[in-house]
Amino acid sequence: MSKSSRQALGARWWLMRRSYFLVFLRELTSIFIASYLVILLLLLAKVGGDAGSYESFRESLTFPGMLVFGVITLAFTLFHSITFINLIPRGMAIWRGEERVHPALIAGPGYVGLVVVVAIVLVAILR
Amino acid sequence: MANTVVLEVFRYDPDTQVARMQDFEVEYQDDWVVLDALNHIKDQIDGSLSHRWSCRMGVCGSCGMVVNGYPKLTCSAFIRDYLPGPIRVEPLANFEVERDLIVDFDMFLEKLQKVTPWLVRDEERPIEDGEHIQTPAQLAQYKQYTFCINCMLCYSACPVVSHEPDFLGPAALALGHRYNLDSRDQGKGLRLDEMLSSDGIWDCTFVGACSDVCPKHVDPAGAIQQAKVSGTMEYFKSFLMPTGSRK
Repeated sequence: MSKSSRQALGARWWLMRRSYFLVFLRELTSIFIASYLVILLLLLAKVGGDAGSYESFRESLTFPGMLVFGVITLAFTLFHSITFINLIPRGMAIWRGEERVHPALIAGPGYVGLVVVVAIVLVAILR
Repeated sequence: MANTVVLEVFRYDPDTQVARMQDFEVEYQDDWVVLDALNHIKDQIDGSLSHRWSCRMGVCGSCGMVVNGYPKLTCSAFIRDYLPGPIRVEPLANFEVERDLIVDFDMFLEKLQKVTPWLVRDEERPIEDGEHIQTPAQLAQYKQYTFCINCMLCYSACPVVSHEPDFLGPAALALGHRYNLDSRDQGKGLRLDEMLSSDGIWDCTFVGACSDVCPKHVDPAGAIQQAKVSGTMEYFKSFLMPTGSRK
């Protein structure tokens, strides 16, 4: 007796349900974040070069396309950060006797850390 | 007037190797689940329909199928939740189909064996020495993972299983983690060799669909992430204590 071929989910699995799509989106954030890091590295490299080259690179970052890219990257970064912090308690089982520590007590410090880091960066940029 | 609903049922004949969907109009009662409808079809309409079931109370894990695209135990999938229908019933995804709604679990059983899902002791203690004492706190650490009924809904929901056929998969890895957490066990090193392999925990991308569909709230996705943390710590400990880690 022969069996049928394997019933796989297929290449469009990520469109099959909302939870799959959100995971796919979270994986996609890495492309934007990595691209932004490359831009930051290029900017740092320009700092060490001549002033004209640095100013021209900075000017290019104000183009509408770059601003849109920046907004999308910010949205994806926040999405990745929030979903990552929300998932930390699942991978981190901390016990007090027979009771597992409430997830909010594990995710909470993650959010506090995120707010602190963002505040430090904002102060450094805006002052 | 009797209530009726249409079931679109996956049919597969291994002799002709033809797969198709077949519609059945079923008169149902208000408290029926999808499994009742399948049993009605087999008893009253088409005796050739093949499906697997046993306890009818969500304990045996035999009746897992894909109902309207979601892996479900058909004994707990009420028809009233899918009205007005039609209700599409397919075999579990990511498994080979033997006939109609029956899938071949050999793939899972081979993977399960790789994680040594039993208590391993360095030396067996004589029975006269008594049982291995365990506190309620030690039991609590792994108890959740003992609820797995091997229904395979998690394998059906997992896109990694679908695209990486060698991936050990949610249930096997969760059970491996369960024994690693058991204070009576001494086989963690043996198990981690498989769990940390290229087909093990690092293949998991934390989609979480396995936990979403688990009828026993085992949370295999969480277990795998905890195993990643544990495995990473073991990796670093192996540098500090080359001979004493993984115990």
